[in-house]
Amino acid sequence: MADAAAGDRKAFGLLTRRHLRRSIALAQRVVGNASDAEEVAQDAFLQIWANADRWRGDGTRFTTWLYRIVVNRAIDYRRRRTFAPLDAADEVADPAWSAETLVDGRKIGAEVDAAIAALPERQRAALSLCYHEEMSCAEASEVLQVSVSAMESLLVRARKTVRARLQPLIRQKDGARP
Amino acid sequence: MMTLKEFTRYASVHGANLDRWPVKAARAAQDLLDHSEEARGVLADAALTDALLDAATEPDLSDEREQRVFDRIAERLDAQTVPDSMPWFLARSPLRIAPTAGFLAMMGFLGFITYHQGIVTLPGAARAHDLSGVMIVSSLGDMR
Repeated sequence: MADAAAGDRKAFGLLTRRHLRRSIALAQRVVGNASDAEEVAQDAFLQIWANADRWRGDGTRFTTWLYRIVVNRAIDYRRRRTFAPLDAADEVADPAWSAETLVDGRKIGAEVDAAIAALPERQRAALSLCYHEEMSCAEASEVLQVSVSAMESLLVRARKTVRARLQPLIRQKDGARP
Repeated sequence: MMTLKEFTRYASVHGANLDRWPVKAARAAQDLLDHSEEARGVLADAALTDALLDAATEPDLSDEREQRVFDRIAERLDAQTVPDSMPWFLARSPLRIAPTAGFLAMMGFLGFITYHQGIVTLPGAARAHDLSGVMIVSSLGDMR
């Protein structure tokens, strides 16, 4: 990172290679679609390059800084998407599925995706960082620039909301009826 | 000893995988799980939420996709970068504050000296009032 901050393109290329894949994944989980995720990751790395001299290695991990940029950028994209025309919006899964269709794992995946996509953006980011990126609450709280307890609250609410939205799915899957 | 309330709180934050819990809390949770049927129920419920989250579609992270984004970053960096060899007329302006201010001060001082010593006479200066006395007083500062 120090070399990249000094303007070394080769060093920056190595840094990008090392972190690009996870950055795209994180962006996609927050922003909700593949093409925007690529734009977000791209913009994030360009921002890193432009501001590399402002990064100080004094205790702050590079990934914390990078993920903070990715998440903020993704939230920004997501907010702009909110005002996009309805036909450009992500497809929302039909909640009224039969028991047969639930057997299809891809449909369940789509249902879960829709439940996660419906979360408020910070809850979705919290879930992505802690659950999918396997960061600790302390690390993720640094990325989102909130306290650890606020981070825990975001996670609790996110898990609770996803669970509540998918409750019909669980009932059908178990064969249990209310 | 961890209480069931604390256990439930940790499970609702971190899920059912104790490896994701803070180490100390995970150890205490293990003790509670050995004795509490309710705690085991809470953990099973958290595991169900974890299973749902696991069912989310994984983003496509193929090599092609990564390369495509990498190439786009490189392209945009190339477009922004100033080439090493540039024709002189496109060179960045050499204007910098300290050298420029020094240069202007030096030129002003030389102009003042040459005029004051009579090396250069300006047309029409003879008709003007003689200001040399004012200049001297002015340059002497507090000695007036």
